[in-house]
Amino acid sequence: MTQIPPFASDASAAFARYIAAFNAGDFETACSYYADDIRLTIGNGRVLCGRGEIVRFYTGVRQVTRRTIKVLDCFASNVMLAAELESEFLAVTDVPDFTSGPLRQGDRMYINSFAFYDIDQGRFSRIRAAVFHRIWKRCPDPA
Amino acid sequence: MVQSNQRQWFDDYIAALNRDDLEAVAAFYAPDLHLTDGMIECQSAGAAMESHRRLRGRVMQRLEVVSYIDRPGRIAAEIRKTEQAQQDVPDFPGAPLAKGEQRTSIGFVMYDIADGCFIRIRAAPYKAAP
Repeated sequence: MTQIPPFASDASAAFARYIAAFNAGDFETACSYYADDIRLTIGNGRVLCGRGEIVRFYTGVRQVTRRTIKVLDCFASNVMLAAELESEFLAVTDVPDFTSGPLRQGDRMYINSFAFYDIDQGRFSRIRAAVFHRIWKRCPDPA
Repeated sequence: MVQSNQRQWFDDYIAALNRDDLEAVAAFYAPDLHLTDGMIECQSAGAAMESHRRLRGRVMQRLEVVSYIDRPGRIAAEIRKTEQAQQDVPDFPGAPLAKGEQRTSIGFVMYDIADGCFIRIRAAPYKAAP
């Protein structure tokens, strides 16, 4: 667990490292960016409370999709970071109950989202995302 | 618009919207403004102003800046919007509004700025309970 608050200096660089950890499924590093009382609201309005619930949720997501988050833009103050993100989800199996709608194996979904990250003592205390745009690219049916 | 006081400039824009001062609002828009909020999509300042005019006097709108952060040329804001129908508004974007009905929504909005005007405004609905 990182001891120095990750956002103590360069927020953009720290954010890039956080996203890289998230993309790699390195939840131990990702969680080091969270305050103890972290609350994360995902695009459909569901609220995840605490590191444990966040890790459980995204571990589940990683079991059925390969997710890659790209940072399109981010800028920060001492207390808040705003980001524009593009996430690609590639379904590695059929996911009829996926949070954004059913996916079949091979389907891809792109989400363009805007997110606010509240920063408290150098760590994220609240993360909130809103979906601006969703694009599905369906895997063609086998001939 | 002065880069060093982008926040004040933005607050002036929100204030103009809140007092329904469309002449002042128009001054914030570049001619080729692209505005989209999921309900409406406008490809020019003229179209955006027409969208404002269509609801003028029929819907009272109040915008509140809940969160704000910026860098030169871009603003990210959390905006709480309360709209109240002064009469029946069957053509209200999204769903009709009945006289007296009030609707509150929160949007995460990205504003792009060039040459002292908004050139792109993109709003994403925030779905969590307040």
